[in-house]
Amino acid sequence: MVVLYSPPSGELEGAGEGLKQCKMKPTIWLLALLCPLLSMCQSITIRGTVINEEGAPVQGATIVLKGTNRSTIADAAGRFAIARTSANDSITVSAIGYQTVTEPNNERGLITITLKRRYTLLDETVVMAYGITSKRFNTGSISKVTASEITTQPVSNPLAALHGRVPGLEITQNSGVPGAAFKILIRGQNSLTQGNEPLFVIDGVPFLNGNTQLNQSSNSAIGGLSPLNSINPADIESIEILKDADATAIYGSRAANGVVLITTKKGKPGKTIVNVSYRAGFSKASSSMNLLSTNQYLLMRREAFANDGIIPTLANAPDLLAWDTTRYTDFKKLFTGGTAQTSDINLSLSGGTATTQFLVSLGHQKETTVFSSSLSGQRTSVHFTVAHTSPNRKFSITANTGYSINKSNLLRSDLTAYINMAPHFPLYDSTGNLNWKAGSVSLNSLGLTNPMAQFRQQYNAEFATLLANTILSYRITQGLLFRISAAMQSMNGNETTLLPRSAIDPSSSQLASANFNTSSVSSIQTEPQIEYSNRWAQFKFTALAGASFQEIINRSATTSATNYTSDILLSTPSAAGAVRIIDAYSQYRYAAAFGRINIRYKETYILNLTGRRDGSSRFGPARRFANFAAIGTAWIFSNEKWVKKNLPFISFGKLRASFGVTGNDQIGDYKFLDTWTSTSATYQGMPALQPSRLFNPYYGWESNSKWEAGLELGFLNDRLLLFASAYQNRSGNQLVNFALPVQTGFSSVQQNFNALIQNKGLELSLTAKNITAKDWEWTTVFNFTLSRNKLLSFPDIEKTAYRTVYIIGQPLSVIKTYRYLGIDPATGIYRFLDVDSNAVMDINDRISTVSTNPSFYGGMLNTIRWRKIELSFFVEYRKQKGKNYLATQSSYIPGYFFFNQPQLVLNRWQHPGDNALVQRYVSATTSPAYRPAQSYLPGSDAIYSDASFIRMKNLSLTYSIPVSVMKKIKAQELSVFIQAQNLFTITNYIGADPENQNLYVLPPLKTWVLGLRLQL
Amino acid sequence: MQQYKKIFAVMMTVLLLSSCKKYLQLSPSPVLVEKEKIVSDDQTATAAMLGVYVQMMNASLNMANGGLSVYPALSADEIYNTAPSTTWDPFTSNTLTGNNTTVNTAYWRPAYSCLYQLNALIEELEKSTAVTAAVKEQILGEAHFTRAWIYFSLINLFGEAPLVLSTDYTLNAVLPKASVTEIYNQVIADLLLAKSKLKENYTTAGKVRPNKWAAVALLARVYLYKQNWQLAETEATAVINAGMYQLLTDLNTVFLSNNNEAIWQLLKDNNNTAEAATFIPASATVKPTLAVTDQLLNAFETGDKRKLNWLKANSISSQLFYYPNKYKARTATPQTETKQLLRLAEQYLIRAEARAQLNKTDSAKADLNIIRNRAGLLPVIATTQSEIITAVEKERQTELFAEDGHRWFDLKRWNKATTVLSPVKTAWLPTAVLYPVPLTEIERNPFLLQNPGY
Repeated sequence: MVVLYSPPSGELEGAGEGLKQCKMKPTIWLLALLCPLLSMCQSITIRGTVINEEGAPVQGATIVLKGTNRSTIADAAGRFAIARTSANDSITVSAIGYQTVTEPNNERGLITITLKRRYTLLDETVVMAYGITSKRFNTGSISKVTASEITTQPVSNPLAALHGRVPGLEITQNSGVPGAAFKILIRGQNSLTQGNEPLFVIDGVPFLNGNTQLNQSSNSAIGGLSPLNSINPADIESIEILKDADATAIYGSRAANGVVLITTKKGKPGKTIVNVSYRAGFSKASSSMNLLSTNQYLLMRREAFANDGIIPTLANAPDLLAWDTTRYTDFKKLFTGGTAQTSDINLSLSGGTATTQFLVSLGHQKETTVFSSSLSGQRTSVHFTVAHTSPNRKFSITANTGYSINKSNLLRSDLTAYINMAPHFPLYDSTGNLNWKAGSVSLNSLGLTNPMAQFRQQYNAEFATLLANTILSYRITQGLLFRISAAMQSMNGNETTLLPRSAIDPSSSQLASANFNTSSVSSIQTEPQIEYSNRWAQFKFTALAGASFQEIINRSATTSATNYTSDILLSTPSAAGAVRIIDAYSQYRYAAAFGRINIRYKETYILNLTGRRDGSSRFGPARRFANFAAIGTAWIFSNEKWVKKNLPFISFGKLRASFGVTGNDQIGDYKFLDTWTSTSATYQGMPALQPSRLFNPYYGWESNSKWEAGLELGFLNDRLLLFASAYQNRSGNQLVNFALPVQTGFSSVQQNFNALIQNKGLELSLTAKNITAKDWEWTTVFNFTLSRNKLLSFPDIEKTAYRTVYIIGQPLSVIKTYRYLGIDPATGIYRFLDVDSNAVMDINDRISTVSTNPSFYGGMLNTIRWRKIELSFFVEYRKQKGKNYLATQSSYIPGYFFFNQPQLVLNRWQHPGDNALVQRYVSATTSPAYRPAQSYLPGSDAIYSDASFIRMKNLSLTYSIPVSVMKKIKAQELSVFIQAQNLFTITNYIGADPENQNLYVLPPLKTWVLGLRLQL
Repeated sequence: MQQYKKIFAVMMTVLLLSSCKKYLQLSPSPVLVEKEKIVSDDQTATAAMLGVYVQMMNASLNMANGGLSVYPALSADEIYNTAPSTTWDPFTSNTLTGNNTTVNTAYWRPAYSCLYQLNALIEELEKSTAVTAAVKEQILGEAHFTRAWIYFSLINLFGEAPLVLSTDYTLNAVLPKASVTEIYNQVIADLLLAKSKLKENYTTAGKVRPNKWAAVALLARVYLYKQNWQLAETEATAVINAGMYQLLTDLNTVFLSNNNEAIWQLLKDNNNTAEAATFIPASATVKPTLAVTDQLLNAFETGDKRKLNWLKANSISSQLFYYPNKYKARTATPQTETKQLLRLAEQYLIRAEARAQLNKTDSAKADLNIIRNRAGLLPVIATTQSEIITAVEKERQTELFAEDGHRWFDLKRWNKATTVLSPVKTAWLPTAVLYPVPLTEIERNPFLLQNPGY
């Protein structure tokens, strides 16, 4: 009746003994329990091997004896054995990702069954935590971005390739400087203040840096250099985004904010393939606001003085009276108008036999800046992977090694910050040297600097990242596998910052100085695992148990060398007048036990249980451990007869639901200890100490409960796939850096907080094969995310620093502001609603609310192929409110000081009765219009407006050279392509770029590249 | 055989789980000192105290590190910025707002950050038995003294302020402002304690760690501000008669490191003072960023050596721009000057004012004349009590200009700020005598109220 286990022939023992063997060696209780049933299987056995088109064994293929309930699974060598009842029984062989084959049994003894790959999206492999699955059988919420989507984008950072591609994933680029970091949020903001980063896992190993910035010393990359730059996008096979509890709970404590799984490319059996790809092109800063010309600027300044009844003098208005007012420099163009060059070359060699496969790849990528083409960020990377399986398929080993060096020489600060210099400011004096004076006044005394001096400073950084992991597995019996993975990662950074005297305003008393930073992070992880899989009647059963140990050690040292008397020996600290060294060290350990049970019944009903017990050294001894678990279920209703009969247009239908609890330990190390640390300086040459932070030992795990329900539908033979999921995440016992007034000594304390935050959302993704003809193919992938964030409760919020920030029942991103009432037509000054009529705008007047959470976002990818030409374009869209150009006008008040302004400020109040955008120009702090602009405007709702955008994120046009031509050059494949990134943006945003929302930070760049791909 | 394997597997699992706890027990970080250990010996306890001084002198123009000499001098009638500046303008024109970042980063934040460290150190030291008695007394004395100095500065800048004396953030986070009287009482209590604990000699080379006379000298100032004339006279006399300090005849040496007039100085290793770096222009042809006002210039009598030695001028387009030149070492090397927070001349002026208020006209005049004599001026002509008080006020203006906020604080305590400043400051409002409490702090503590006018 039931064939549970039939060892294939050729394995250690003879096939005939296989069944007895099973009886005698019950490795786990379940097997033992079921052994009596084996007495039923005394009959003739069909034996065979299941392979794919490349000749590799298809492990886990299901072999069912037609017309019976009997089935078995192919082992790692693809071998199987099944008892048949009568001579003419045929067998059906199926496997994930392959077309099902029915083979008549003609008693040949040993048969070989070749499975053809099934190229349907539903059966595509999807990487999950500790394993693989397919869209068809997956119970959790996992989105996948494939290599083909990544390689069409001329980007250096894997995160940049994810913009808008995944429902529920919000990526924001901080700056257009090469290597700059990205902000990433999966399903919204879960934590009040910190730790919203997802867990990054590369080939099964948590990435040692996560998404925290690499550099210790500051540079022009706003938000820091991204650690993910150390991974070559060309080496990535797929990126999976794990979102719900079912998909993430097995990562326990680190999964509250979702998981990003990056899987690198592996070698495939077959002939050796050489792949070469090269692309090169250029980038320009995307459009920004236009600033005033010199004449407009002078007009603004003069009007400002006239408004305030102040007579411009040499002292208060050197820009009007001392500078050459005929000069004009477009500083925006000068600083950010340059062209950055980009080039990327990748070479790989891969191949192997059925037992051993390898892949070696080399890559070099370089991007210069728009500030200067001599400044750049570059990466050189090596990726090596080898997999071997013993001939008896019992033992296998996979080793992955990636090594990359990222080099940057960037400016210390972003020149975009200086585009608002007065347009007739002289950068050079009459002799061609850097100008440091404005009339008789030094720039230093005006609080200004000459931005060109930055080119005399030096910032050099080098980061070497090594990621190595090895997975050893041994198949103890056919269904039982022991696996151990061991991983080592390290990151070593060296940064040098030189500030020569020649780069410093000569009127400043500052001496030349230099900073030398070294940092190293190392991580060791090991994970023993046991996996058991089997079939019992219509049940398919998989169980996994494992443990995880990880240690991360962070070390850094900053040598700050000051008081140099000469610029010549600047890179030698011993030549400095004074040297200070600051060391930092931290250790983190993490231990866990985890398990998963997956039961599939009739390929229709699926139950998935996961659990994890976690311990983290970041918590005090009493609160070190916590448990996390999740349950996921799925029902593939399209397999039901009644659906097939009544709803034949549905080719696939699945309902799934999950619930679980995950956690968050994203806090620093040792925070449960009350510690003091060395100050950076000495006192009389003696060491000095200062407290590290406020002490609160009573913090523990934060928990995040996640609900999810999904509906997945396929129509017209899966040509149209619609995936929808609705989720609700509630995060409580928040572990936050709780903001405090500084009168407590510090501005925050680490503590758990009773606030309950909810993220609710709806995610849709639609894949349609619009045309699938011989010459024509057109595919559309569309995704849409609607998300709502809400602060559900916050006990005693009135007594905390958050009373002015958060509102119960509103999103965390809600900001309480003054209500802007427009410009007083009589006085020309901004007006705000003074609720308590006390003539000043204070906390009580913050009655207006603005939310900057995107209300919806997503993207659409269209791929059209006509014969050898493929065109794909991707559009990203986002509906949101954001800070507009007025946000920076409290620091740069129109008319005041020597700041140039966006041309929009010409729409200003001039005469009583005027209706304008900007209030009357201000010339001095004594103007009645000063305080409203400096103090009230930034706290009002006037600085927020629509920042929605539709962006042509990517365009790629590829032409594959016809086969006839390729044969001549003996190539397998040859194609040429044009790719463009951030092509254009449609927006109503009043400001520079709706994504980074700051006129004074370099916006994302537009990139065009031309390239070629060759396969030999 | 199978049974053994099973048992082995179970044992391994148990072992694995029990070793987890040990695995997560980390050895202490070499760069961190646990709080209990800061009072485990004399060296660490000393390092914990020195950390406060490092913090006080850390950033240029922080409260102790020149911040009191520059911003209040702009707010008062001593100096002005010669060119527009987003930093200086709000001070010079008395148009500060709650979101002015300088007020927060130069005063409020460093003050409370140091206070936390001092409170923590006092709490731990009082419990400690490991620190030797002498060191414990010395450090406790220094800590109480420093706490008093910070609170004294805070109330004179902001008026009422939260009085934080413990490290318990749950209580401190919601503390409202304490009254000025309440804080003065604490300042006096701290200074009396410091006076009793500190020795007359300085514990290390120089005068960069306070001794008993530093406590007494500050006490004299506090009593003067409290209008407790009798005690102000007593304490000032004690300092003057201590025999450790003397007025220097060469005015160019008054601000050197470890000079004989200095009572308390604060050091920034490998640096000269922030005052010199701020006030002194790069060359004789550059207009000084901050120049001395006509009000101050006119206050100097003819022949006043202080005008000659403590002011300097650059001539720009035939116009003279004077700048404060008390500290003269502009660049960091070689180190010759140390930030001076208490000096003997002030004690004479404190006693002169106290004596004048007590109507001891002769002795008041005598004190005043000591200072005038050193400045190369003839004895004061004043005879009546009010004339002498006016003479003291003028002498304080010319002796203590651009030095730790004396003028700004004096104008306020004499209730003369509006009278003196409204004619020269177009946007003057009487509420400008108090700096605004940083808006971020009010946002974070619902019980903290803003000062009037902001």
